[in-house]
Amino acid sequence: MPVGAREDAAVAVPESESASFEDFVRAEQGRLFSAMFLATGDRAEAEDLAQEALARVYERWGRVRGMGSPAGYLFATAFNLHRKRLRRPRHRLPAARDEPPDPAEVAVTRDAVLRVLAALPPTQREAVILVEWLGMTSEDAGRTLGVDADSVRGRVHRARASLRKRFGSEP
Amino acid sequence: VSDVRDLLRVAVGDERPPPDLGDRALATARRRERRRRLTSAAVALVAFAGLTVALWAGVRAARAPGPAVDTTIAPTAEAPLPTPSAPPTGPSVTPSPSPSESMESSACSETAGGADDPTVDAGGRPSFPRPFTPSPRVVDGTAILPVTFPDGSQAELRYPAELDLASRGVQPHVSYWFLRYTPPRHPIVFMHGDPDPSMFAGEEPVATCRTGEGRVEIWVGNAGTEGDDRLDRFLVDFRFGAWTVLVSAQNYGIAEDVAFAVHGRETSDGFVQLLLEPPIGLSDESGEGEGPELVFGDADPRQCCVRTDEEFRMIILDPHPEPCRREFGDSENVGGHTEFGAKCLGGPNDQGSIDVGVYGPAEFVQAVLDGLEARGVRYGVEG
Repeated sequence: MPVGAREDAAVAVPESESASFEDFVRAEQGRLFSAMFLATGDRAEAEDLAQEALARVYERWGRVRGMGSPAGYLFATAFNLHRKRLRRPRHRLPAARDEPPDPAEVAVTRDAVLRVLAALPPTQREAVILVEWLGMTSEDAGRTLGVDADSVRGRVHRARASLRKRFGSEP
Repeated sequence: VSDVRDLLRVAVGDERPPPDLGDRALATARRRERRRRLTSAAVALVAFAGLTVALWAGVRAARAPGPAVDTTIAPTAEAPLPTPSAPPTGPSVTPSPSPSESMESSACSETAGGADDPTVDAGGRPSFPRPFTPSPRVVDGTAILPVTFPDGSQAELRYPAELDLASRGVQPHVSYWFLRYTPPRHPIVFMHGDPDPSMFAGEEPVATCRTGEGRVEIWVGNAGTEGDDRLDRFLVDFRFGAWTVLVSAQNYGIAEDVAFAVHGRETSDGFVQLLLEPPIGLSDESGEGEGPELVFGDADPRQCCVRTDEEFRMIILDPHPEPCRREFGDSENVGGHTEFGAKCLGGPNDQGSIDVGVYGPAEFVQAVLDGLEARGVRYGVEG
């Protein structure tokens, strides 16, 4: 079934809006999923968050589609969901204290990058994903995260410094 | 690695969203909507049934044969209900004390008020007391500024007086963690003055504790301030000299533990130093680890946010236990007119080192990198 096809009439979203939502999903699902994957480091979790965020946007699509940046609303929703899940006990399992980096980890492997990302404070991780990965401006990222652009810059810079520190400072 | 984006690309690898992601989202939304409608219908049905039964019972009672009913109001054997104007017959009742009053009745200083009383500006953004502005002594054009980090690390910074770094204000940062678990970290907010009332929900603390540090208050935090949801639900309010230290706690029990586990002092050079007892400890990893930092040029005490001058001039100092080991490259552009440069401070005879990160226009960054030095670096000094 194509994205956005109506299997029943339970959700009162007009057909035209559903169709535009279908386009929206096509345009954003890849970015959304990859952003959530970077935020969580877990494919299943990323799928779950992306699906839930899209569902919530769909429920409010009548209003969201008229916003200046429906994608910004989508990412704000997704990151909010992620933050809430971080507070759940199962996401607060005791973690081993960080050991000095394994020399092998200094090599840029996927797991190594994901580990360093996971060690970033959530605010820095979100900012670096929005700005560095999704290509948002600091101003747009600030609107998405509910902070000002200076704060976003500070977070991104700190995240960049952390990544460089682990993977080498040479540009 | 050429770029952070390249690192992120490596991390994402070939992960792609499942092709039916949109369908699943729609199915979720529709299921939820159906459930909502069913619930609403069920509630309406139950309410209707209840109303019907009540009406039927009322009608039946009215029609039932029985003794003649005197419709005049007569006293019954039951005690009369007091009329609204009747004075209470029992002992006089006074309002219950608030939790803070019931836990402690000692005289306490107010937490708000005074010239530095912060307010929420028109944009809804909290304002905070001016950051701590230390006073260096100047000798032959060199400013000499002793600094103490929140963990007690110390150093004597030296820089050309014309850089005037101290006037930018110095903001301490550090988080704490549970020693058994380490991450996640929980933020601590340092303010040189009184806290912003908008950081608290309500006008009274939920409890006060008498600890070795004097009166410590536990507040419910207003965690939604400007999107900063990293602060936990409770804020434990300590006063160390001119400093307010708000330690966030996930729940009330932890807040009580924190109230008795945090010790601190205002140092002779005007900074603030903390000493934590188990089960908690200060995070000691710099950068992403939210270990101790001093930041020149950041007027926002919260870890979530940064407030700099228009040119984003900011200097971040991170202490380390080991001597300088790394070479730092040239500064680089990090967006707009902002450059970033870094260096390490501390000599081979020092007991530690300090990593410095400098943001701002290129000439400022270079001037700080060229001119800033440190002597007598001592990592994590206690006492």
